Parts: sequence; C-alpha cells; structure tokens
Amino acid sequence: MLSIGEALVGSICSDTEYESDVHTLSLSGDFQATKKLRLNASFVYNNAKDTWDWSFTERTALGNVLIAAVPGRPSNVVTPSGAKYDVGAAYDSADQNNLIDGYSDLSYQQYEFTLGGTYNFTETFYTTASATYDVFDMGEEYVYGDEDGTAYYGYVGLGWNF
Amino acid sequence: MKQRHYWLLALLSIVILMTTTTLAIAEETLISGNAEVRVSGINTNDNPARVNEYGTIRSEKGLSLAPKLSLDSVGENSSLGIDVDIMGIHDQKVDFELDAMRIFRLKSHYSVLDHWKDHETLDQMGATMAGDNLGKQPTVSTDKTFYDSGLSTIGGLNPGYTPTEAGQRYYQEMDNDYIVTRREFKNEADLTLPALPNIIFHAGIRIETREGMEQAIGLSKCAGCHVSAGGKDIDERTDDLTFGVTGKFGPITVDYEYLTRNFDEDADAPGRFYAANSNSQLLYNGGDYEYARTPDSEKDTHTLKIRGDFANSTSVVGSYVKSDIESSKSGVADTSYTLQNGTTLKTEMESYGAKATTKLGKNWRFSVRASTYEIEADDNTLYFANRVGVTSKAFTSDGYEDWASAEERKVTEFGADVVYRLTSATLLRFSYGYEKIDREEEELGETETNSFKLAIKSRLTKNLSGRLSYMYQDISDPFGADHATGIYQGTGTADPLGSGLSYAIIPVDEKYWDAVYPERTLSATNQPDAVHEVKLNTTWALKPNMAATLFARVRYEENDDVHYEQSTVVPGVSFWYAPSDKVNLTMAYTYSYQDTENRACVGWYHG
Repeated sequence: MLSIGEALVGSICSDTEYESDVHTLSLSGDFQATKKLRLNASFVYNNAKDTWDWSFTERTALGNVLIAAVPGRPSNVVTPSGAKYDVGAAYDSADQNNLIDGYSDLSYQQYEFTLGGTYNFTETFYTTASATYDVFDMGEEYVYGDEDGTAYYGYVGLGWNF
Repeated sequence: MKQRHYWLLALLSIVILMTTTTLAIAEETLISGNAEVRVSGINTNDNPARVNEYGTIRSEKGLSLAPKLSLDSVGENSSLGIDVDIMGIHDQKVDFELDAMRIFRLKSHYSVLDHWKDHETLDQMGATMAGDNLGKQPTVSTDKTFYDSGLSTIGGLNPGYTPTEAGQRYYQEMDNDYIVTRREFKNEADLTLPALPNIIFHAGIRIETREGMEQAIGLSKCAGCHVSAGGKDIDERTDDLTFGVTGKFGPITVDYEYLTRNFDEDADAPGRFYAANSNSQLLYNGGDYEYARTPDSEKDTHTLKIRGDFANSTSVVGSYVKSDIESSKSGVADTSYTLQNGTTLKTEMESYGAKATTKLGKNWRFSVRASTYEIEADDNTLYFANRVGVTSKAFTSDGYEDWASAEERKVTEFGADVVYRLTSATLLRFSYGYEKIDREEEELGETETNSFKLAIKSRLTKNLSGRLSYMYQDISDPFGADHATGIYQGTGTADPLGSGLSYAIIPVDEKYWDAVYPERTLSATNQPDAVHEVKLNTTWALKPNMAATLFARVRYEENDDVHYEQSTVVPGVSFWYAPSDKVNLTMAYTYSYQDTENRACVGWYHG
C-alpha cells in the first residue's frame, strides 16, 4: 500500500508479433495483330497486409497496492479505517498502449491495367499510344491517413524510323 | 568547393571531344534509330501520393509534350548512342555514349523524377494517448488535439500559440504537398593515349539535386509531450568528382581512384516553439529553435587496387581505401550547445583487403580472402554529466561519462571458398566466413559471426537446371544495447498474476536518472544470434516456345536472449509462353511472408 510521497516504478514486458503478407502478380503480353498493328497489354496486382499483435494485461490496481489519494482529487477507495485511496489516477498500460495494434495494421491493394499499341503507316512512319489505369485501394488507414487514389495516364504520338 | 576542378574537367572534355569527334566524322558511319513526338497526360483522383508515388509523367494532373529519340551511329572505329525519353517536365531520362577512335570514351546520364513523400497525420499519436491529458507525462498532444481541447496550455506549459492558431497550423500543414524532385547528371570519361596504350585515365562528375518539401516532425519538452509537424524546404546538392588511372603492366593491373564529394543543404531549417521548463538545461530551454536541419558534409576517398593474374587461373588482389568525412552545421543559429572541436564532426575510415584464387587440377578451385577496416569518429562522442547517488535531485557537473558513436569500430573479416566439379554438369561449393566487429562503445557489444554455406548447382537434364544452397550463421553478441529496457525486471516485485509487470516502490520525488534508467536490466536488439537460410532457383525450358522459373527463399532467425524470432518465406514463379510467332505471354507471381516476434517493454509508473 502506497503512501503519499511514494510511487511505483517498473516496466511491463511482453512479446510482440508483426506479420506481413504480400502478393505480387504481373501478366503481360504482346500481339502482332496485323502486319501493321502491334498491341501490348499488362496487368499488375499487389496485395499487402501487415498486422501487429501486442497485448497488455490490464493492471490498474495491483491487488493490495493502492495509491494514497491526492488532496483535492476524488478517491476511488475508502478503507474501513477511513483512509482514502485513488486507483483512477493510475497509469494503465493496457489502456494506454493497446491502440498501437490498430495504428500498426497495414492493408492495401493496387491494380494497374495498361493497354498500348503501335500502328505502322509505312515502313518508317508510325503512330503509338498507351493508356494506364492505376488504383490504390487501402483496406485500413495507416499513419498517413486515407491514401485511396486513382490515376489515368498515357501518351499518344507519331514516330519515324531511320 | 573545388569549382576549379569542374572547369578543368569541362575544358579537357570539350578539347578531347572536338578532336576525336572530328576524326570519327571522317569515317563512314551507319546511322539508325527512331524519333517520336508525343503528348502525355495524367489525371488523378483522391490522394495522388501513393497511386502516383514516383511521379509518372508529372506529379499532378495535366498534359506534357513528350519527345523521344533513339539514335545509334556506328563507324569503323567510333560509335555514338543517344537515348532521350521525356514523358513530362519531371519524368525524363537522357543517355549519351561516345567511343571516339577508342581513344576517348564518354558515358553521360541525366534523369529527373518526382517523388511524393510520406505525410503523417499524427493521429497515430493517439495509439498511446487514450485518456489524453494534453501533454502531461506520459501522454502526448498534437496541434489537432490542442485545438480540439480549447485549453490554453499543454501539460501546464505555454506552447507559444493559442488553440485557434494550433488548428490553423494543423490544417495548413495537412494541405502541404510533400514532393521532392530529384535530378541526377552523371558523366564518366576514359582517355587512352595512343602513346600509352596500357594506361587508361578516368574522370567523372556527378551532380545530384533534390528540391521540394518534406514533412518534418518535432517534439517538445523532455519527451514526446507535444508533437507537431511542419513543412521543411529541401534544396540539396551533391557534387561528386572522380579522377583515376588504370595501368596494365604484364600480369599486374593497378587501379587508383580519387573521389571528392560535397553535399550542401541550402534551404532554411524549419523552426518551432519549445516551451520552457524551470530546469536550466538545453532540453528544457524555451523559445523558437530550428529543428530537423540536414548538415552539410564533405568526403574525400582514395582507393588503390592491385591485381595480379598468373598461370593456372591464379589471381591475387589487394586493395586499400582511405576515406575522410566532415559534417558541419556551421549555419545553425542556435548556439545553445557546442561541439568539442568547433562546428565540424570528423570521421575517418581506413581499409585493407586481399583475395587470392587458384585452380588445382580440373575439378578444384580455391579462394581465400581477408580484410580489415577501422572507422574512427572521436569527435562524435557524447559527454553526459554524471548523476551519482540516489539522493541527488538536480543537475550536477562534477564529472562526465562519454558515449562513443556506434559507427566507431574495428572490423576484421576472413573467409575461404572451395568449389568442386562433381560431374561435368554439377558444381559443389562450400564457403566459410568470419567477421569480428569491435565497437568502441562497449555497451553496444563486440559481435563475432561465423558463416557456413553449402551450395549445389547442376544442369539435371538438357532442359532443367537449378541451384540449391543452405547458409548457417552463428552470431555472438549481435548489435544492440545491453541495458536498454526492462526497468526493475528481475530485480523488482513481479506481478503475481503473470502480466509481465515488475516494479519497485520509490519516493515520488526521486529522479529518473537515479531510480529508473540505472534499473534497466534487459538487453534489446532486433538482430539474431542464429540464422538459417535455404535458397532454390530452377529453370525449366519445357519447349522452345515455353519456359518456367521457380524460386524460393526460406530464412529463419532467432535470438532467445531478447525473445526474437523471424521467419521469412518468399516463393515465386515466372512463366513465358509464345503460342505463335505473333504472340508473347509472360506471367510472374511472388508471395512474400514474414513473421517477427520480439520482446518489448514499456515503462510503468503508478502514483
């Protein structure tokens, strides 16, 4: 039982576990559709999921170890002798730290589709184009907030072989 | 720094280029390639920072002119190659190669790339902030939680601005786009004079710049009581200049290179307000101070290699490297602390290495290697005022303890490889390696590593080949701190319910440096003391138009002293198929799994 002017100091140790699963798939192909037209296409898929598991046992009060109430603050426990004790002011490791698990979970999927091609008008003169659609889809917000996003990009042009 | 070297190099390059190009043009040349005029564009929705992390075409939506040129010119004795691929203002690659009469060779590369940088919300500070009391230890506050609270102090201290201003700062900071544009211009030139055909002179120049803005996160007071973020301007430039010479004298090849590097950060460092505390120590000083400043640095390196090639596939290689690095924060306005030797930190590295390889008969091949290097960083030692005796209540200055930098160490390595040809299509390899890292700071450990590796490489059939290897490492005292965590673990009163808590009762006004930090009994590291790793790689050419590759890596690490265990499994497959001469198909899949366990301790204060 603690008196005013005393404190408990120590540490809680437990084993943490971090698990990471990442899948990456890519498919691509090109096709000479006609003598003048060549097409290409690709698909890339990423799926990542990380989890952190760290559990603390709630130890706000240690059995018969009570903290003397600070004058002016409400007391949670009053003993038969009339002494006042405050367990509400305790630093509870479980309450303070278990949210770490949630903020350490990572989950996202990314899809990227690309379609392109080249058409030869003559042996030296051609046109070329490519278009990509990219999606980043978060399953859980990590420390960077909501990172969901999509992008469309590509190019079109004329070319000359020499 | 040393700008005169750049002018000298540029002048020398122009003179040689004009001379040799004139000679090259006189030859009959064959020119081929293609040129494209393109228009590129990008449109993004929601958050572009991840979906367009490496700035394809441009970092934000819009159109760009996107020219492309590929040109090859080949003559009898000379050649020229140019590749230009410009997709946008900040998405560019240019490569240039010239071989003029085999006298002068030049390779140049220029690239530009945008990178969206990380941008934390700081909401994760709430992971240890349940029941937040705005900065009173051990919890933390942020500008957002201060704004939401409407209170005027943080943990009883003046934060330097009102909650309304804190809210403005938070939302302004969240509006920042953290993008850094990286440019690199690299040139490597070789000169071989006809009068000295066995000597090649080398020169190179590399200029790298980074411009933009990154997020800087600062924390006030003695711990993480108030955490806030701000934009940090980036205006960095790295200049590398190399000179060298390679000489071949019979069986002996001598190679020398000198590198000088200069790094400057010209942007102003961000600043923040630090609340004052009654203790007159640096960590408790109040006022506006810079933080997150990147120091300028200079590096000079000399590298000498000597190689001898002899009969029976025997070779001997020796090397010597000496490097001096200086890091300076000379532009810092804050003079509340000083370094022991002015404004510069100095690091020196000196390395010696040797390797010998030979062949015995048709089936055996041996090689041995040894090296040693030492990093001295005397200037990087920290000195802490002694805090002696459990009754001391205040800062004392009756003596100092020093803490040497982790980089200050001596490293000794040696090893041997044996290769045996089992059959005409099968090789067996055994390797042994030893490494000893003797760190100046004893608390960080003296690490010894013994590595053993066994591998077999074989072409099992005409169409099937593969490689299988196993590696084992035994590591004593891996890098870590011996008394880093676990306050009163094993020395205090253990929680009878088995929660992992251990504690002691102390007077409430006892200081941390008397009753907490000296009572840490456990070591902490994320490094293993034993490693097992198996690798497999096979290639199967099923048909002339079909091939598959299967690979896998399995690794297991452990360190019982800190309850550390890590398992890694990375299998993958790739497949190529051409069903006709008009169609090519490829597929690749990789799965990466990793599971890590480690002991973690948090401080526990009650009362």
